Amino acid sequence: MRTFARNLVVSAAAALLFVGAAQAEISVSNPFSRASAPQAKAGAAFMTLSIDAGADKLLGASSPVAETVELHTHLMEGGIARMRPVEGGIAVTAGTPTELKPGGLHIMLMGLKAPLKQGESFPLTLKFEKAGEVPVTVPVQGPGAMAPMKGHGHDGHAGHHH
Amino acid sequence: MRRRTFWTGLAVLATAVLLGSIALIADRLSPQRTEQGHGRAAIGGPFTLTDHLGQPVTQDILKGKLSLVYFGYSFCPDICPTDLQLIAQALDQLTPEELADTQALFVSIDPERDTVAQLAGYVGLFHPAIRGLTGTPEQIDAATKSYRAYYKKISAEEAGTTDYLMDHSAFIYLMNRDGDFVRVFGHGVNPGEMVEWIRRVRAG
Repeated sequence: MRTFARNLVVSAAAALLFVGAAQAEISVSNPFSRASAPQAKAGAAFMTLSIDAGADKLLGASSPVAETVELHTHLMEGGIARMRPVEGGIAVTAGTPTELKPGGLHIMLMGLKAPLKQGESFPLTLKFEKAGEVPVTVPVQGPGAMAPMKGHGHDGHAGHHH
Repeated sequence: MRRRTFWTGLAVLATAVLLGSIALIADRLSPQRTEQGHGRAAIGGPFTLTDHLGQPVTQDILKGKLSLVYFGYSFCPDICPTDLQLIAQALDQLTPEELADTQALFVSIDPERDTVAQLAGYVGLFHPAIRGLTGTPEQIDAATKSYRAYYKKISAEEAGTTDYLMDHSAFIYLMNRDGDFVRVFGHGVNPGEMVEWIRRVRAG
């Protein structure tokens, strides 16, 4: 009975979130990651985020393959690379896709539980301010891949259909 | 009249001496002269490190081969893999003969995390001709000074992350068979440009 009541509350909350997010749709395209060394503790995921109307903000992410997932960016100043966490999330605005790509914004996987192997893929859950959770499947490519491989891009249309 | 010529002459002479002295002092002070004083640009020099197979190495491993030298860290998820991939692509473009004559060195600036075993797994991902080098914090500090490479540990608290990060210069140095500096390539360089310079040095 108690479980039923709790389920009811959770469902109601989910329904509210659903309604709240129903105006705009986030789409994630061309996600990819890079193969890591056997003992690697860190990895990164890259992708393009779009929204069909209005604006939203990527606030964070989580994945079963890593202990923590953070939003990072790279600043190159006079040949010096400085990686830093992104303050306040990554904005996504209609009409201007936000690219997370090598050398710039990326989703940093810290404390990898197992090496990321080329040819495999892993689940990643993006958390948006308005859209809520958006699941993505991230294919693992070569260790220095610069862009998603052709034929893998369609994997990423992580539908957050309302 | 004669007197006037004398004074004019003296003034000209004094001005010449003064200008000459300024030029001489300026030349002494210019950084370019300091570098020329060593006979070559002051990038590269002595180091004592351990390679990814656990072998102790010094600057002597540069002798007899062309080397691409890069300072980075294996925890780096983005900049270092990109540059190592570009180095690997350049190595792949070389003929077997050229490749036998060329190596790449990935020097860690993160001794805390980059153990020999960690580096072995990491450089092996990219190309068999890439050697990983690590060492004690003092050895790594000395090596970065030789190459004028910059690095700085940013603590987790300072960065606001769950683990510490490393700031580092992302340059690829090309060294000749004598271990002398030839050229530096910036982050994201076209592999073809490195190949062109490797060939130029080999032909040289």
